[in-house]
Amino acid sequence: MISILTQAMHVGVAGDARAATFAAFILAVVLLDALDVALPRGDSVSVAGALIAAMAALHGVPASLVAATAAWFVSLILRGGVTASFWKWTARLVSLLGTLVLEVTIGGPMSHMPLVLAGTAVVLYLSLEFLASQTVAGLRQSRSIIGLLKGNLRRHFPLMASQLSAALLIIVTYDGMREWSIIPVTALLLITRQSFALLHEIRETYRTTVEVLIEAAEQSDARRRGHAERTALIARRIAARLHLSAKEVERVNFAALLHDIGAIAHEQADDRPDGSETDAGSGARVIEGAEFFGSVSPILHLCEGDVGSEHTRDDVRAALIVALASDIDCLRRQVVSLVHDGHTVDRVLPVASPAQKSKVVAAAVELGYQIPAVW
Amino acid sequence: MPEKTAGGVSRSFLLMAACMSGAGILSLAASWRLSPPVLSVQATLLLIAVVVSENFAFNLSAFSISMSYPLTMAAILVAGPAAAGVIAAASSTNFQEVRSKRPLSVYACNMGQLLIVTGLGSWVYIALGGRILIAAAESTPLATADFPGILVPLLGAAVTCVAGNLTLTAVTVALLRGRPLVELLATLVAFAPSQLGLAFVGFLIGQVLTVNVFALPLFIVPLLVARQLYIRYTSMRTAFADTVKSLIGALEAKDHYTRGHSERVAEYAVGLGAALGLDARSLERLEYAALLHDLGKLSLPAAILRKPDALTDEERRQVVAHPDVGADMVARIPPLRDLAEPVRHHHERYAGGGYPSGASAAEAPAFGRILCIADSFDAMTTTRAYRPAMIIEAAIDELEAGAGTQFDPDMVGPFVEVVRGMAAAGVESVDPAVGVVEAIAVVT
Repeated sequence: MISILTQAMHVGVAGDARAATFAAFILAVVLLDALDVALPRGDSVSVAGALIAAMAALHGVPASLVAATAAWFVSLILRGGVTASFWKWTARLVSLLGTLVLEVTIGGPMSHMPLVLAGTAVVLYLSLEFLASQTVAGLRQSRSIIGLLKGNLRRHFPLMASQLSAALLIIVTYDGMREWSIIPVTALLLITRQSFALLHEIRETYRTTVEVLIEAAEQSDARRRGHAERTALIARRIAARLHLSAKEVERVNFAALLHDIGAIAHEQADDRPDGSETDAGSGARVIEGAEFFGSVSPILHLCEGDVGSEHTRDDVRAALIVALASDIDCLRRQVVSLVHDGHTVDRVLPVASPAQKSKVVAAAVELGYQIPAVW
Repeated sequence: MPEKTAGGVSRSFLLMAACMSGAGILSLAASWRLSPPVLSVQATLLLIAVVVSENFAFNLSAFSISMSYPLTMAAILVAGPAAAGVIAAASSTNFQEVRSKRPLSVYACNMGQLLIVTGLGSWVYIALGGRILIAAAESTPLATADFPGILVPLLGAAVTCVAGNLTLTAVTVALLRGRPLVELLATLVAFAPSQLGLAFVGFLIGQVLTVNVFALPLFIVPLLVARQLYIRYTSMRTAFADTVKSLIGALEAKDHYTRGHSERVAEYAVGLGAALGLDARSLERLEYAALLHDLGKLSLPAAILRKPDALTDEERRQVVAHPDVGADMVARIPPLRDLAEPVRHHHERYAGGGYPSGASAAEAPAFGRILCIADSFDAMTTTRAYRPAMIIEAAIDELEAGAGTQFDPDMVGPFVEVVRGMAAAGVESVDPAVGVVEAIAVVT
């Protein structure tokens, strides 16, 4: 370790970073960090990694570490939030140390090497930063790190590819433009960040709107109150335990939130027979006009016992998760079962394979849930 | 409404297209004479890239943004005014639009606009001391010595192009679709920061092309990623109102009397908002507020909603609390948080004495007063458990009688015009016969 650090210092001194370069990198990182996209569970997505990686490739890891640390201090002064920014800096520190190993192996800043080596360093840094940030998020939220990595890799991949391109653009134009190349690349990163933020915001709007609407509807019957939200939580946890992708977890979440919407709309309708309270309303029919829920519809069909409807193996697995989550909640709160017409899983089981059943049940048991007797 | 020609465009637009294309051609000719283009690999690449990228343009409601914009900005830096003009003109070739047989006047107008804007931007760049990177087969990329001085002409060109583009687009759309120019300008100004950002990305493309042509693909990933993410966002945003309508509609079905209420209120509110001159963004927010205005009522038991007799004190307390309950729920949806107050105030009276607070609605948000009128009108014209529906003219009389006491007096007049217009156009929710038929059914 001492040897690596000694060599690192040598590399740092050998680098030709100027004060103006440092200032430009630091300001751009502070700007991009200030505009990071906040995610629901307290972590965030920033595209500043491209600049830190480019700095490491151009002027060496120690210089980049100095710039990243300075940017962290400036951010702390401007925005506060010690804990979150500390973890972000920790992830960067770990990633830079990993990149340092490559740099020491090569023997100098990657800018003196062919572009492909500099690109390798950038890829290494961005991969390590993703790995470190997901590990930190997993540890802070007590969630499966493998699940987070698997779930978020596809979602973050386009951003990482954009950052790789942006970092390489700085490296390519740096010889002529020096620190001035950072301005247009930052603009490019901001455009990517803005599109990601808008998409994230509209997704969150959908999720919270559905949650709020279902909650409002459940309020009118004390027995149902909170059932959809609890079912969604259990279903999400089971889906995460099964290492499903982020997209699939989101689909399961929406299906769980909506699994009783048909019943809610139906049971108090004017045309119901007096005294009868069943789940006879079709949630799938309720959402069929909403294009956004197109992928959720097959799951609801299955949860309603419509096994003849068109579905895939993934739909069956998702429906099993939702049905089991709903039944687990009914088992824990008997009052909910009064408005449920028997076990929801009974409707899905005929189309589920033994392997699917055992995997879903095993995940629920591992999470400590009590399973209904029907299993 | 502007007078239309056989091609479906107004005469004023045709005149504008003729002027714009004429001015564009003059601008290109002047550029060609003063600074003839130099044939280079870079300029040819930009020309090819601009034609390809234009066929990947994506739409923002009435407007279109394409990746060819930064490429045109790159052309200004790399190849000068005349070549940039040719490349800009090439960017108006969209094969999909050719297939859809778009009127020739629209092409002429677009091409003229691009030529004018690019010409202006190029000459501002040169006038402010900017230099063209590839001249007389010699390429000299920007170097440290050029900075920061070169930022002035770059910024000047970017601002000129963005301002010119947005202004001429607004004028064109105003003439083509008969929409207010000020409203269009207000909507388009929101795109200025991203357009400026794209302009600087364009300059970077120019620099990279001059340094190393093979590095050009490095731009493809970030721009494509941004484009894909944006397309998904716009598609989800467009579907949001439909999604909420489906869910609200299903949940309202538990009470026969209020079925479809929120959707109708949204229709009235947007109509009134448009009559009051709200811009497109505000109308979208108003529609969301109207769709969610009775969220608190969804949490009331159907037995209360359907009760034909007088409510008990407890039941009344629950009904009176529903705007607060709904507002608190809307406040939990972060991007819609600003709509919580209009939802809270939709039962307040203009002179005070409404609920939940009883305060004067004159101080309440304008959206709240719009919702109050739209909600009251729909309540009057649909049958409720405790009374039959009114016919539309009787409901209008009620609105006019309540102007200044229950309703904002400045909004009642425009609303009445909107409702009468909708009735005349045969909009289902304001079919005068609906109220009459429902009233007869309840009476008999």
